[in-house]
Amino acid sequence: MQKTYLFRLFRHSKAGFLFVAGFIIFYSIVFSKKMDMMFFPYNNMYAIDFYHSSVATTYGMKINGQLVKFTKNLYWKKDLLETSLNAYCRYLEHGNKVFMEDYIASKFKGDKQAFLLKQLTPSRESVQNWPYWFANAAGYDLKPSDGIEFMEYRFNMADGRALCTDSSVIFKTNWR
Amino acid sequence: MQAATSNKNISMALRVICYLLLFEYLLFIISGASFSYLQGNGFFSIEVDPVSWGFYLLGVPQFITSHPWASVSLDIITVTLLILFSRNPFNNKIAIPLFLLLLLFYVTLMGHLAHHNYQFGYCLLLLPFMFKETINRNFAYDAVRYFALFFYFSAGLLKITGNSWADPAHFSHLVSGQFTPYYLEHNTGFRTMVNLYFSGLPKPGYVLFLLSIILEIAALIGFFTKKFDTWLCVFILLFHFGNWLLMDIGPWGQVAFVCFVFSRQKFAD
Repeated sequence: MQKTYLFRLFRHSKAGFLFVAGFIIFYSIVFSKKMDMMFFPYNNMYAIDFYHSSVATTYGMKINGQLVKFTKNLYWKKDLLETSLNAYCRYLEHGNKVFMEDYIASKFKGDKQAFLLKQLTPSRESVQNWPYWFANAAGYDLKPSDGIEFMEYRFNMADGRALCTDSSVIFKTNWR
Repeated sequence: MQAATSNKNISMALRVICYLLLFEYLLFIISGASFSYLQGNGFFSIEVDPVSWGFYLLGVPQFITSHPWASVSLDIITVTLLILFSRNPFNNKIAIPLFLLLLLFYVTLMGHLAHHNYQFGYCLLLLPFMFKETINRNFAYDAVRYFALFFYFSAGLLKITGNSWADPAHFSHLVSGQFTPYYLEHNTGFRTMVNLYFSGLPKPGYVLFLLSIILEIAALIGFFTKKFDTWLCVFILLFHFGNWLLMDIGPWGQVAFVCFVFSRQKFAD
């Protein structure tokens, strides 16, 4: 007992003990309520099979009909471009809304809601430039009047082959 | 004489980890995902996470990504502090601002990645060094080590309580979506070949999945003894590099941290 971490910490520093004990209690409550996203590390990683199939969805952006490629970049940039593109396409599919907009709308009302929406979700104006940032970061030049398309692709991987079974245009416009 | 030689080796081991941490941050810059590269990207999507909320409520990430001078300055300051930290890890006047900067970077990057990355170690590693007194640092080190053990253990535990361990097709479904942009771009190679193999054949993937759960659960041992820390370090690193091979989830950002928490017994300060 006397060798345990919490006991030693208690003997050394009451404030330190209270902080650690408080953290453990709070984290346990959060964790027991399956709110594993409450703190940064993703404990629940790959514990849930959301789709129950070998059909996978991915997104792409085209400039004048040409696919913007990014998988040859080094890991972090590839990851940033891939996940950011996925999130942006889901934003377009979801009526120009991020997940947090629905969450705040369901939990808060009035002034508090307006303030949180302003601070915790991207404004329409700030999002407008995202295609330019993405193209630029991937090494492509996006010029005014260039045609841009956001695509959704479905792959079937069940037979040990990557078969693109379907694709659809999510959003299409000309760059201003 | 023997003690002096021992201390020299010990500080060298810590220095290597500090340089590894510096290298991990430089990888963000070299690959193009640091503060500077997020500049001009006004789209973010955060989750229900009070730490992220804190920074975004203050408008800090939004300010950084809309002001080029701020993002470039922060990269320069972070690298400078990392170099200074590598030279003197026990100076908490360097570790405290560095921790805050790396936490800010983590939150900003996650907002723009629009999902949580498990690679948070480059930030957590600094926590013990924020304390000036050796005894406080050692307590903080133990706390971080327990948190790391809990992180890996709970990942395994949730796969058991969520019953995914009992589904032979679970892993094959998961890996199916991991390399799709590569197929779309026809950028195929050894890793995509391995991915196709595991996507099409659930049984070999199931064996790997069960092994990974055992490995994650094995972190529980670390709560009772430090005797197997070297083995935990080796297996967790293997797990992360295996994840990169099979699922395209890179270990960078977590490597220095894993080496640090599971081999600290060889350091002295």
